[in-house]
Amino acid sequence: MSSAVTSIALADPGEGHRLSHQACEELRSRLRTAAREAPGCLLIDVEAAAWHQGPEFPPPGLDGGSDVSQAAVAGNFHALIEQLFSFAAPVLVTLDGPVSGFGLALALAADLRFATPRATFSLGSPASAAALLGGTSWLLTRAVGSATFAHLVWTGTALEADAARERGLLSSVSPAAGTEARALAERLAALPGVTTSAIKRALTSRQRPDLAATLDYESWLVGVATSQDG
Amino acid sequence: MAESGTTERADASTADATSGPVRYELCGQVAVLTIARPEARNALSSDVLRGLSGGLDRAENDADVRAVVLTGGPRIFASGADIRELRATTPAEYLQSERLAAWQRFARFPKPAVAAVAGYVLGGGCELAMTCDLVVAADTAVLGQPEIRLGIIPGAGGTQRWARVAGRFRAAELVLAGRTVDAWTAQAMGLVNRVVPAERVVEAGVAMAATLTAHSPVALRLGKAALRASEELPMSGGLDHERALLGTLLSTEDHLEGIDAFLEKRPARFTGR
Repeated sequence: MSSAVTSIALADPGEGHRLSHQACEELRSRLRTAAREAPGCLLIDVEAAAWHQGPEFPPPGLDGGSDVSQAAVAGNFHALIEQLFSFAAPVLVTLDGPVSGFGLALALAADLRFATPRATFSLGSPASAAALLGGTSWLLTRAVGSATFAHLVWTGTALEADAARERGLLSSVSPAAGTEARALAERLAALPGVTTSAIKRALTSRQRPDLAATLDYESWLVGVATSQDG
Repeated sequence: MAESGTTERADASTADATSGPVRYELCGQVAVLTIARPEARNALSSDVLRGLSGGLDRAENDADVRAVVLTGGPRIFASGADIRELRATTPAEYLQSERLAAWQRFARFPKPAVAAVAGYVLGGGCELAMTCDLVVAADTAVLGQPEIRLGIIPGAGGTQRWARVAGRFRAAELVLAGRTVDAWTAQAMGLVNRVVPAERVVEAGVAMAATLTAHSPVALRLGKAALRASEELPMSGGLDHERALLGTLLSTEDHLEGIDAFLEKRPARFTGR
C-alpha cells in the first residue's frame, strides 16, 4: 500500500530568528504532526536562508546570547536532529540559500538534499560553537567523510552548491531543485510502504545509538567551547 | 583556575566541606566526595580510603542524601594504590588492615553511587569506580589494571568485576597484559555509561546522580541490592531474591504514591517510607 507525500515549507524568518529555539520547537511540532500522517515521503522545502546559522548564534554573555547549557542544547537542538534522523519515511530537503552550522546538521539528518545554485554550505567560523551543534562531526563524516568536515570546520569555508555536490553532499543541483525533489518524493511515496520502511530502517536504525552518543558528548562540548573562563 | 562549571555549581550549593584528602560536599540531594590529593595523583593511601569510607558513612546516615558521586575532579580520578605504602606492607598487615574494611564498605554502600572519572583511573582507582553503580568518564580517562607490571595483581575486585563486566577474555587483556583503555573503549566494553568532556565530568556525574534522586529512595536501595545480588546468586536464587524485594516494596507508601501519581499524571513525591 502506498502513501502520500507530506510537505513542510519553512519560511525564512529573517536575521535574528533563524534556527532559534522557537524556530526549532516549531519544526519539532511540524515533524510530530507529519509523523502522525504516516506519509510515504517527507519533503522539506527550506526557503532562502532559513537554515543559515550565521549570526543567529551569538556567544553567551552578550546581550541576546544563546542558551548553550547542556540541557538546552540537548533538549532543543539535538532532540530535533534525532527526531528528523529517526523519521520513519524518507526525508528529502530542498535548499535555496546559505546553509550553515546547525542548519547544515539538519540538512544532513535528512536522507537526500536537492539544492539550487544559490545554495552554499558551511559550518561557520571555527571561533563559533555553532559548528558543534547538531552532531555535524558525525553526520558530515557519515555522509561525505572526515576530510570534508575537517576542511569546513578549520577553514570556515563555504562550499558552492556544485562543489558540495561533487563531494557527495547533494543529490542534485538545479534551478528546478524543488520540482526534482517533488518528483522523486512522489515516486518514493508510490512505492510499497513496507519496502521504503525497510530501506529507511537499514539506513538509520543501527546508527541511531552512534548519533545519540555523539549528540550527548557534543552537548557538553558546546558548553566547554563557549565557556567564559576557558 | 576553576576546575569546571560543575565544581563551581557544586560549591555554590555546598552545605559543608571538610579538609583532608577527601572533600565532602552537598549538591542538593547528592553528596559529592572528591579525592583531593593531587600531589600524589590521587593515589589511594590509607588516609584517602579512610576519608572515602567516612564520607560514605556520612552520606548513608543523612536521610536527605539520596545518591553520591565519587570523583577526583576533572583532571585525575585515582592513579591506584599508594605504592610506597603497599611496599612496606606485610601479608599479615594487609589481611588485617583498614584498607580491606574500607573496600568492603564501598561495596556495601546501599545508596546509588556514580563515579565521575577523568585522567588516570588505574589499579585501585579503576576498582573504586567499579564499586559504583554508574560511571561517567571524561574523554581524557585512561582505565586499567596495571598491577601486573609491579609483580602483583588487583586486590580490590579488579579481576572479578572486569570479568563480569567485559568477559574473561577481554578482562585478561587488562589484568594479565596490563593494557589500559580509553573512555570510549571502556564504554564499548560496558564499564562506562557516558563519556563527556573532562571539563564537565563532575557536573555530568552530579546531573546523572540527580536524575536518580527523583525516584523513591527505598526503591533505589532495593533495586541496587537486587543488581548487586545478580553478581553473587545463580539465576533461580536471584529471581527469588528479586521477588522478595518487590514484595517488600509493595508494602511501602512510596509505591502507592508512585502509582497514584502516574494515574493522576503528576510528578510523584516520594518520602522513602
